[in-house]
Amino acid sequence: MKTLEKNIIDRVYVFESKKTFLEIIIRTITVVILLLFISLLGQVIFELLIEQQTFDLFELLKEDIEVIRIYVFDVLYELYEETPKLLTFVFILSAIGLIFVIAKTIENFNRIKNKLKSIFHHFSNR
Amino acid sequence: MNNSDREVILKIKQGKIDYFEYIVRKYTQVMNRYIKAKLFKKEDSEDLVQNTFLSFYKAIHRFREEYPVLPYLYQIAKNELKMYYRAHKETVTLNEQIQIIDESVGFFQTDYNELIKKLTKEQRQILNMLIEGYSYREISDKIKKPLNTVRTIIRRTRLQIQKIHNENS
Repeated sequence: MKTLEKNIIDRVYVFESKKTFLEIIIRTITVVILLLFISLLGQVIFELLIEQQTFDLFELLKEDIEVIRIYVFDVLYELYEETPKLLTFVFILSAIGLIFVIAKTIENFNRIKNKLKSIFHHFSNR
Repeated sequence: MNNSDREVILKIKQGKIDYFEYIVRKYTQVMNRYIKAKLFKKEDSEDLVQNTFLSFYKAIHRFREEYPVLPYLYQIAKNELKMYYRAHKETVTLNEQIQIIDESVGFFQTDYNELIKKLTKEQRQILNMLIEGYSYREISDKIKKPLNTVRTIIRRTRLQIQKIHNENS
């Protein structure tokens, strides 16, 4: 009976090790890919806005508060018009995805940590 | 439900896999006995017990800790047994001479079709279910007859098969 119990536990640990490491690898790859994608997209959007001299619109902030109050909506509308819509939409979507993955990882951090501890403990005591 | 089982399941859900040893130690013997009783090939029982516990572990995040563990394990074991019998089911063409192994009658060879014809419809149905690996209890549930009636039908069928076999040989 002892051998059977040991075999069951060993199989469970082998299964869990594969699952946990695969989960960690997938999460890491997802975060890295999303980060790279977001920074690349951010850079493209930023360069596009510089090229269009869209940032000049912020010159308004140097004006008097009264002038800002009058022209703020016009400037915002102008900003909205000049922003590349599709790229910005993909950028925001990717950023939300990244935040979601990171939040899930933080939420499951203790569970993954406990699993890794148990796996390490099991295989080191073999 | 046993309070400690509940705590152990919660701990496993939190990722503390070492606590699964408690479940394994507590229920291995019971499951092994149950599966052995249902198997013709006793040497396969350990594999099935291992599969049962592994399946339970895989499903533990869906398992609600307020429920008892043992019935859930029994259900998994039943499914494993069904899959085992399905995988080991022998398929034979009609009119083929086959061998039937029966604990009380022994090992003999006979014309299956001829044998089947001499049995009643009910006996044929029960015999087929027995060959597929159903337990007496499962047969009684399926055909909606009391367990003792099923036992009697099986005993009579065995005697009848033995009689036909003796006549043939």
